[in-house]
Amino acid sequence: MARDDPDFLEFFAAEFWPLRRVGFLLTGDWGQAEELAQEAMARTYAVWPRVRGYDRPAAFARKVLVNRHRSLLRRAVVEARHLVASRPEDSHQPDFGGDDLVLWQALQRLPSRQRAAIVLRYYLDLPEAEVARVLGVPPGTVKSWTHRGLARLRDRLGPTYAGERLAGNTSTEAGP
Amino acid sequence: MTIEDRVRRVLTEAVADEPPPRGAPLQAAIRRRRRRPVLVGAAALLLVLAAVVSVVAVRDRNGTRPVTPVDTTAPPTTAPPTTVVSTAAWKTFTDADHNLRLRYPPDWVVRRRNAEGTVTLAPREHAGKALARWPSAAVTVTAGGSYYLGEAPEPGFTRGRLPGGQAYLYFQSDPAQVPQVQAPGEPPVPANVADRRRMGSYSIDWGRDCKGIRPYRCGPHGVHVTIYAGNTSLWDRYLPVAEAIIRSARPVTPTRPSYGDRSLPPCRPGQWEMVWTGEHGFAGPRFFLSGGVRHLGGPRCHLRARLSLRVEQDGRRLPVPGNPASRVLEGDLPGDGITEEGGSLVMRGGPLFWSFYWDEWCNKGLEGPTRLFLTSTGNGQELRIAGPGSGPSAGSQRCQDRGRPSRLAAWQ
Repeated sequence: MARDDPDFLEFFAAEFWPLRRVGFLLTGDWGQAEELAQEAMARTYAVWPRVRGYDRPAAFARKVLVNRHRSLLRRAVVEARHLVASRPEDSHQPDFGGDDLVLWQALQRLPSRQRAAIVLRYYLDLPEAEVARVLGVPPGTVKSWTHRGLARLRDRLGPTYAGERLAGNTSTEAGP
Repeated sequence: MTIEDRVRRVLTEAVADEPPPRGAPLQAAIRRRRRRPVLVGAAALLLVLAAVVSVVAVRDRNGTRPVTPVDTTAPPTTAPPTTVVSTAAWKTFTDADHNLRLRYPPDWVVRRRNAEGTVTLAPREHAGKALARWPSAAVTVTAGGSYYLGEAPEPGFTRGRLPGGQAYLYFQSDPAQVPQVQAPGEPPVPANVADRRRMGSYSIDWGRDCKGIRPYRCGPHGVHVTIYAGNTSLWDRYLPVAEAIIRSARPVTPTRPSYGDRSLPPCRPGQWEMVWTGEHGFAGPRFFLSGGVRHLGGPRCHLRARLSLRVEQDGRRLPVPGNPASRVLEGDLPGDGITEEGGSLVMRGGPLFWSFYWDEWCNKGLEGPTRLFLTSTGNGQELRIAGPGSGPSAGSQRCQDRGRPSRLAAWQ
């Protein structure tokens, strides 16, 4: 029983909130973020005897969360649950203005893979290799998605970043 | 400030004003785990499961017993199996909301049913542990869930059809492969393989209806079943009954076929396109590609098209068994197609979801960049996709020749 498992309790207390934040950055919705974080924790709990022996159990839970978000089939279920459970406060959004609001809205409009790569790379500051492991794609693909995502964001921000080049991000090869 | 720094700052500030959770997160997660063992633990479970229950289902239909994985490491059981001579005196369980009806023996009990379409049945003598995290003997059935074919073609599936004609996938655990790591508060994993827990899981095509898990969605649904046993003896003892319960499952009201409405006009070439959403991944030595179909416009229509995937290297077809692989897609548009929401392609599972996989893709002799060509009949479309051994993934740590044959196939 998890309630009697101090290791899992400790893990849950430390990692649930960061997972929920990543979920929000991926979905833009705190309700869905909570669903994703709970799902990730539930699945981690299901295999806790194995995962607790990992060097970084949080990396496992993070991968579950990202996979759940990426899984379009499952996302439909999450959306369905969210529709049932959603309340007015779920619309809680960051209080941005000006270019920050433009950037935030542009982030929300990125294709999900590009958004995930950017969130993992620039919010969690994960190295490209780790982002690639979480997303289950080669590092070059992460590089490509990040490059394209940032390019879109730069376009949305207009002249301020129009001339900026991305150092080291030159790969645009699509596919795995 | 560079765009990267600005993104970092905005992302950090976006979650700085975090609202409180809706409920108690730990309790919610644990409750979810307990309440929906199939839905929540499905992927993890399915990887650990292998195939036995399908045996009787297919045998009843075909008159022959299919080849199924057998745990050869377990010693012969000493417990006599519970045979099913007749189901005439069995009770009936009905859940009209989720369109499920099944029958179960009078010495079995329904231990729980919930609003999400899950019912747990167990032999009376094991009813006390039926709702435990690891039941000693139980069957859970969840109706009205997502389409029975998932997006990732995980290895280890077997296929079959129930007597009612419903297609299914089946997994069965291999107790010899259970990690011998003791969980807190739980007994150690027995050294004797026959004393370890057993599980089997069905994912069944339930056809189309407008019932199921709320909010109701008209479309293809699945029924997901898990069989639990505390050890091989209990597994052998109760498996015939569990299989008979599964074979008895029927929709309360008839469902329409998952392939859609063939009375609709055929989709014209300009009405649809294949879409590779960029979804791909690796499941052990398996590389897979997934995608769907997008409706480009026009009235509702029925699509039936053959998709073919071939792998080329240096402009020549790679000599891999199954190359090219093909499959038929059949469904309705726009209902079964991909939609676009907020700049992302969203695909709800269904018959127009397609997936191909390539096992042991980096064996010796397959080195070098490859290119995948996905073509479709009907609209003459061709998608060109970099192969798994190409570019950035060349030299990946996943790449090794394990002495197993390479194979290209469609997931359907």
